Order: sequence, then structure tokens, then C-alpha cells
Amino acid sequence: MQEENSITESEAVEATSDPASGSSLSRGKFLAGAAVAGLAVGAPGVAKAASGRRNAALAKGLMPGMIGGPTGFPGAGRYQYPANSEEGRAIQGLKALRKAGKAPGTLVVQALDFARPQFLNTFPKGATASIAGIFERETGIKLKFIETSPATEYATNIRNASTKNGSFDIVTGAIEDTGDYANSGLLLPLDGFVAKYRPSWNDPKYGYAGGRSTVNLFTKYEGETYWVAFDNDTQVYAYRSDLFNNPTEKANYEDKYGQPLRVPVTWDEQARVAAFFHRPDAPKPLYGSVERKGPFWGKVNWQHRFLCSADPNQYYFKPDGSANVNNKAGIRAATEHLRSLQWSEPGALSKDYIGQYQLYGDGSGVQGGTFPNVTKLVPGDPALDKGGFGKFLRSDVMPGRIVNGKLIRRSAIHYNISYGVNRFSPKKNHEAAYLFLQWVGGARMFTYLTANPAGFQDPHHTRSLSDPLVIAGYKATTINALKQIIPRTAPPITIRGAGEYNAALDEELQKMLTKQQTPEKAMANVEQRWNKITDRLGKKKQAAAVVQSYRSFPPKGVYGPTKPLKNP
Amino acid sequence: MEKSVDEHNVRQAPKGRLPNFGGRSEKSVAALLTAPGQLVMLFIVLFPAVLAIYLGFTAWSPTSGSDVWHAYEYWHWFDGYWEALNDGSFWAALWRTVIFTVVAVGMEFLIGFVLAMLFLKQFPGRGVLTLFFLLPMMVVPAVSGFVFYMIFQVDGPLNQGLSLLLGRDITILWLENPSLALWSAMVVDIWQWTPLMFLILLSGLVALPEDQMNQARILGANSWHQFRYLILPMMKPIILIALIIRAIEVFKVFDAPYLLTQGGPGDASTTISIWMYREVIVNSRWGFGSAAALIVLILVTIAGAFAVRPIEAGQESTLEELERGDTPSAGGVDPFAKAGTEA
Repeated sequence: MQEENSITESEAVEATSDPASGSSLSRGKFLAGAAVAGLAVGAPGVAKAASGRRNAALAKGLMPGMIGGPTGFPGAGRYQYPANSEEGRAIQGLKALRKAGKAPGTLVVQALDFARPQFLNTFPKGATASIAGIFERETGIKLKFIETSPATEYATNIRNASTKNGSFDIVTGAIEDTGDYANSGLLLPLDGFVAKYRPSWNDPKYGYAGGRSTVNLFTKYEGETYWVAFDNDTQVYAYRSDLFNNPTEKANYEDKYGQPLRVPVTWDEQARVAAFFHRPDAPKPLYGSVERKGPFWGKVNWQHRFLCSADPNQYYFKPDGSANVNNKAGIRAATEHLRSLQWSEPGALSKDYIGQYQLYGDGSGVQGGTFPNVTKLVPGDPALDKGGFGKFLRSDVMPGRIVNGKLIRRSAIHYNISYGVNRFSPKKNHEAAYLFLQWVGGARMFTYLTANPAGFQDPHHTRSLSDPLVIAGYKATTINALKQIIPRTAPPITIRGAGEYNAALDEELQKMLTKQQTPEKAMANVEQRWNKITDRLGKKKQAAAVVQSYRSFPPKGVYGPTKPLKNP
Repeated sequence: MEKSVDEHNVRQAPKGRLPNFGGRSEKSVAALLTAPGQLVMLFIVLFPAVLAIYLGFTAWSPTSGSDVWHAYEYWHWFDGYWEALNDGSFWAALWRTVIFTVVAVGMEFLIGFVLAMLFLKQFPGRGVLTLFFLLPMMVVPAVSGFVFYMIFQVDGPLNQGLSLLLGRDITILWLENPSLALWSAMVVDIWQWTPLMFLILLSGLVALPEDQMNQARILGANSWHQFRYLILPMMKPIILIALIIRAIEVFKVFDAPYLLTQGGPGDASTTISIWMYREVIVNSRWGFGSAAALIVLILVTIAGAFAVRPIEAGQESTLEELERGDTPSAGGVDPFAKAGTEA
């Protein structure tokens, strides 16, 4: 789905004449120019009408041709939208619904505790309203937020589904919840609205960075659209650049391994680098690999190692629905996951990502997979950046493996905030609820939302990854890594029972990490438990969902330019 | 002539002042008036129980796509019960819960009783100290769980304190070592709920008949004999009630182990409540969870019936003694004889 040409033209105007910035073209000059241009074409009436529209837009703080969006700060024009854009269509649709009495006065939005502030915080300095404020200003519809948290959201929503709770219009969840929420009936299929209002998710310029496979991964279940994506929890590989660039460290590493020190591109190399830097007894302890290991947060580090084991795709299930982990790929990933514990900090098994961020901040963490916002949240944060090492943090693509002579690097995705329409809310609210999501989940508005430092929803639109405010927040290092990572991210388990599959994997890995069982036994147990779940839920149905998940695999897996080093 | 108390104060309710209710008896009118309340109570108590029993016979899950009223479509009789009974993780969780209950309640009782004995006599600051000891009980379990989560961190205050004390670096993995995780959770429960035991036992001790205690002292019973043959037998019903109340509570323990370890590492601190939570909430297996819950209910009821027996037996012997006109004794034991003193 391509955006119409008019948008590109609007963008061209926007690039030179942001009224709020006042940098390239003053308002007076612009109006004068417009008037001259009108006279020049010899159509005074048209020029007058055009000038009138421009004046109206400018009076609202909008650029010419734009119908809405944030105003009042330099660069606001980047987030404003014309009528013929995904945000514009959504706003016009909402206005029409309001006029016809088919939209509610208030939409009730379920949101995570750390996501909500991005809707309510007015950003940046000079901005005239928050996103919720802009929405109300443009549609007359108020937003009411009800909070949930990652720890309780699934349980709450399963209860909501079982009681057909329609007291809120918009449901939030993790990408892993898709199958359960869709099967429980909680999520309304959105394809009808998508066809009607044409969001730009697949558009090369305005769409999701990974293209069609990312749209499939972020929004669909069994071929139907249930979510609008509001996050990007594809995992990055974070490291301390000062250590990797230190001449002494470089020389010592090369002396020891006969290879140059660099950010690891394979898991074998990662282990060597981890062992090299691991100095727990140093006056300032240094831990070679600060991957998350604890319950819920840790399993993703097994997943990275597992997902890069085949060319092109290694997945958790075979096409017949049976488990595909009790094999060389699964056991090797488990063995490496266990091995890396020796280079982790003491207490790694009970720490979450905040603990990991603190290690990076105080200078004890060398490297490890994590969330993309690590470079946004750690530097300068008094609680996270106690040692002031946040400024040295950089991001890269997850290490991988050489398969059939090719270097395969895959990231896992962990959580990823998504929003859908509550099927049990009043039917007349459904369309308006979807339109709100299309509006705020559109390339321009979502870029504006993710630039806001008040919350944790991360960018995934192509447009966001070149936005100055977003880059300023996340740092160029992470944005560059994300451009490589998003198109290489493997789908998580999203089929029905995902919570149960993931819990079984997590529990068996935890038993392994605490020496209660071997990696072989862990994978055998995961296989047994997964197959039991699959059989109970219906192998044929589960197999069909697995095959659909395969479609979410992005075509890219091979990481081109970086050649792996030979093992010493 | 003196009037009896009844003649003075008690007046017969005037006849004909109550509505007639169509000639119904007082009993039937009372039943009629209390019926709405009774029905509400019946619904509140009975409805969830009936629903749980019903769901226990099905494999229904909210993710199945049909609502709870259509759970019969997933009817499978006793399969859920059979699966639970054959599930190693169910029995392991149950066994862990029994250990947790025995150890935690035992420790709470011992510490609570010692404290109660110490607080029996007046001393300066007793009131303030009592309040201080009761404070943990008033802390929200989520807060205490979080506080202890911080305390038990490998670089937390507990290990730091031990390092300082022992003069070497102590890095005990209180929450990550599968052999220690459950015990760490027990510490939280003991810390939080010993005050309740202390409170119950202290009120029991305060209420003991002073004259019998004085009599024993005068007759030469030493402290141990007073405790062993007087206090302990007289406190027996209170102790049993305190133990039963706490055992019932602790058997359902969820907060402490969940907040500290989420039942981990692996399943090392998974109590039966956490196991249920995982099956019902995480795995969305409501039918199976209901079946397992009913099995637990039956087992706990049986255990409870045995636990209550001594109290019932004590009550019966007291009633018999009263009927005989005797003073209820300290569990049928003559403390003075045992103390080597003629009563």
C-alpha cells in the first residue's frame, strides 16, 4: 500500500517550511511567496482560497496542507499530517462518526503503567498539548486510561475475556498473547477497518521497518489482523564502547586470541570476549556477559542462540505442530545459555532488565542482549547511570552462527506492547477505537509518541528511525542497529497457549541454570511439555497456527557485510 | 419482699403489637424475614463452589473460544482429577506447601509463645514494644515481599551484614539457590505473621486464672512446673486454635514465595497456591485448576478434621467436668501433685 503523491509533496513543503521552527522560511515570507505564486499563475480566486486554507492552518500552528498533529515546537511539522494520510483518514473518519452519532464521547484505553505517560506527557518544550490532548482537540473525544502492568496484564485480560468485560474499548497486550486473546474472543478482528481506512503499515516510507513480514509479525494471527503495534522490543546487543576501543584491551585480546577485539558477531566469539573481560575480583568488578537470566526475562537469551541455528529459519515448532527444541540447536543454545552464567554478575538469576541497565550504568557490564531503549534510558539517569558509564553504551546486531558458510544473526522479540479493540466493548465504539489506534499508531504520530522520553514504547516505523527527536533519544547507534535488526527478527511463540509454552520453557531453563538439570534434560522436558500442550489444544489447529507463524519470518537472516573470524 | 431480677427488668413483649403475617407462626415469619439474606449468603458461598465443581469436570479454558456457560462442551468427567493426581508437579507443590506450613507455623508458634511469655509481666516500655512487635503484621504483604526481595539480593544487606560479621565476602544466593529459596520465603512469612501468634497467645496467657497461678506459686511450684503443668495445659485450646488458624492461612501462602522468586528457581519454591495460579492464570487451564483445587480442598478438610479433634475432645471433657460439678482442670492434670507438692 503506497501513500499517495500528495503526501510526498507535503513532506517536501514540510522540509522547508515548518512554521514552528522559523528557521528556513518565515511565516510572512511564506505567505508573500504564496501570494506571488498565486498571482503568477494568474488565478487570483484560487490563490485566495488556497491562501485562506493556509492561513487557517497556520493559525492553528499547522503547516499548509496539514490537517492536524502536534504544534508549538521547532520541528512539529514533521509529525503533522495531511488529509490523505493514515492519520488524516483516521481523524476524518472519527469526525464523520462523531457527526453521525456513532462515536463515543470517551474512549477507554487499557495501557501499561510505563506506556501511559507517553500519551499524557506534553513533549517537547513548547508543545501545546499531549497526544491525548491533540486527539481531544481534533475529534472532541476524550481518552480515559486504565492501567495495567506486564506482570498482570495477561491474567487481567484472560479474566476480562472470560467475563466478557466490555468496560474498556482498547486492549493492551504483549505480542506473545496474540493467539490466546484472539481465541478467547477478546480481540476484535480489524481487517474490515484496515481495508476501509488503509493504514500505511506496508508502505516502504511510512510503514513498519521490516516491511510485510514485520507487519505480519506485529499485527496478525492466523492471517487476520488483531493488533496495532506500539512498540519494538526486538532485542539489540548492547556493549560498552570504551572497553572495545581501549588500545590496551585491544592489544591484550589480540595477544591472547590472535584476533582483533571487536563487538562479537558469533556466539563463539561472544563467549571469548566475555571470558576475556570477566574480572569479578577487580576493584571495580567487570562482568563479561550481563545477559538477563532470571525468570520471565532470561529465556530470550536462549532464544537468540537458538534462532540463528538454521539457514534461513530455525523455529520452535515443526510444521506438524510438534516441538522442535530437543535437538542439536536447542541443546547447544541451552548449553551456551548455561555457560554464559559464569560471566554474569552474582545474583543474575533474580535480576530483571532494570538490574541489567544498572550494571551498564555503573560500569560493571561489558555486553549483552537487551531492549532497544537501553541507550535512551541509561545515560544520565540518576538511578541507572550511577557510574556515568551510560554514555559509552552502544548497540549492535545480535551475534549469530555460521550455517552453510553463511553468518545467520537473528534477534528474538520480547513482549512488544500492542493494542487491539475489545470485542466486548459497546459495538458502536469499535470503529472509533480502531481509528484512534490507526491515528496514534501512524508513522507521524507514533514517531512523535516514541520520541517522548516519558514511556517505554519503542519505534518500529521506517520514518521513526530517521527522525531527529527519536535519534536524539535513542542515539544513532541503536537506531542504526535497529535498521538491521528489525528485518531479521524471528517471530516469537504467538499461537494459542503461548503463555503456557513460554512458561514451560522458562521453568525448564531456570532449573537448568540452577543446576537442577542438564541442558539435554531441559530440552527433553521442554519438548515433552510442549507436545503435551499441543496435543491438549488440538495438534491440527496448532499446526495450522505454526505454519502461519512461519510467514512472519523475515526473509533476511543472513548478515551480509561482516565476515566472521575463524575460531582460534 | 425482694423482687427477682426478672421481675424488675424484663418485660414481656406486648401481645398483638407485632404484625400478624396472615396468622403464620413466629418461626415461619422469622424464616421469611431472614430468607433474602440467607439466599444471598447461600449464593455467595454456594455459587463459586458449584461452578468450581462443574468446571472441574471439564477441560474448559477462556482461550477455548466459548464462554464459561458452554464449558459442558468440554466435559471429560474425571480426567482433570486423574491428571492432577498423576501430575508429579502437583504432588511436589503440595509437599513443599506442607513443609512450608509445618516449619513456618512451628517457628511462628515458638517465637510467638516465647515473646508472649516475656510480655506477660509488666515492664517499662511494654506497650511501645508490643506495638513494635505487631508492626510486621500491619505491613502490606506486597511491601514486605519486596523489602525481603531486596534484603535477600546477593549484594543485599543480609549478605553484607554477614560479610561484616564474619570478616570475609559472603555471597549466599538466598533466592537463586533451589535449596534455599523456599526457606527464604518462610523467613518472610515467619517475620510477618509471628506477631499474630504472639497476639493470640498473649491474650490467652493474660486471661489465665490468676488464683490458680498464685496458688501454684504459694505451694512451691517452680517456673518450669507452672509452665509445664499449668500454663501449657490451660493454654492448649488457644494454642490449637492459633495453630489451626495459621496453618490454614499458611497453607494458602502465595505472596512471599511469589514476590521473592515467582515460585522458582524452576519450581523450587512453588507452593500449591503458586501452582494453581500458574495452571489457572498463566496456562489458562480453568477446568484442570478447578479439579486440582477440589482435590486440595478435600485433603485439607480431612487434615483439618483431624486437627480439630483435640479441641473437641477438650471441650467434651470440660463439659463432663462441669456436669460433675468439678472445676475444669488443666487438661485433667494435677499440677501440684506433679510439682511434688500436696494440693
